[in-house]
Amino acid sequence: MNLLTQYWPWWLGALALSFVAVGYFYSLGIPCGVSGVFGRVAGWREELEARSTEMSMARNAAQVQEQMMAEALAALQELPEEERKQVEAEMRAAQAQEAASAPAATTVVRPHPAAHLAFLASIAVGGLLAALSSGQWGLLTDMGATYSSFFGSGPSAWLILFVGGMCVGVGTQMAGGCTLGHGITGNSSLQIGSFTATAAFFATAVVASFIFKALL
Amino acid sequence: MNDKTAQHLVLKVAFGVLLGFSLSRIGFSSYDELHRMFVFADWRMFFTFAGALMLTTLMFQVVFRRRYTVSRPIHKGTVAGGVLFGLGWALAGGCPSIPLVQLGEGRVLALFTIAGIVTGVFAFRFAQRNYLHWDTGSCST
Repeated sequence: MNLLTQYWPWWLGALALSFVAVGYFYSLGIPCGVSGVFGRVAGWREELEARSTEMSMARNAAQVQEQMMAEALAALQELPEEERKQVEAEMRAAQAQEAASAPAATTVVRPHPAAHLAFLASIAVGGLLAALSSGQWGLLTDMGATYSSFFGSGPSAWLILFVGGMCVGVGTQMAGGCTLGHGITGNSSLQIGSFTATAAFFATAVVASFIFKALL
Repeated sequence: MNDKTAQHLVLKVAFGVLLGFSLSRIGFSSYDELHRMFVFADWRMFFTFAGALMLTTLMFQVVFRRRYTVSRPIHKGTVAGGVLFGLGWALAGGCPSIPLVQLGEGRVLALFTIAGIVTGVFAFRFAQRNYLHWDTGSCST
């Protein structure tokens, strides 16, 4: 079986998708989802503003901590030199420990929206590489035989794509997730909202597909 | 750009490429395959999804012991949004990453789907800001 030209068996696809979801969360510390990324790219300006607020908060937090330390040390002026140094060392150690144990819940700064855009672009690059490596890349002006048989070709088919895309855009933002964000990440965290959303979108897609098949 | 930003970007791009490649090779980006899954003519992609879900659950619940969890309560938009998304998925074949994959594969019509998604995202954000003010718990960072 050639894995570059044929569709992957279910277990390989499951391994790959799971690797992406787990690896993304593990290495980046943020849940993997695509609709959220779309939302953040759409909210470019708000994201930039929130980011700069977070950055200055992170800076301030460090400054405030330094200041508190200096004040505390000033209050220890009467102590003999050696004792003061020991107390200072203890305080620094406690500070470092605190910083290590709570990985900067307060100082985490959200990524630049350009990173989200790069993520979306890289998904397309993945599709390009898959098509090139299978030797099937080419400019196609249809969506396959099934799609053409349902919605024809030309402007009516394009309109359906646009309308369907709008449903996806509104729906994923409204539900707060997509196949990945709810379907994989949310469900694997055993979240009732994700179970509900996943049941809703799978059931609707199944019913709609049976209707298309029967009527179109 | 500091080291952490660069590292973040590289990881994101690497996972994005892997995701796009995998979705294409699984067949999620093919409307034909997708429709066959939705009408139960072929269970392969259902099993792919179910398998990925089980593996990921195992990793998050057992291996990482709930260190990586997200909170997704039910809210006003959960069912309505899910239904709208399901309809859009059946119509245009796009859970939001799919038209990007299709575009990479050379299916230029995916631009219409992408335009629709972007319009929809903006429309919901607009409605949210001006009328709805729902707490939908955004999907990810």
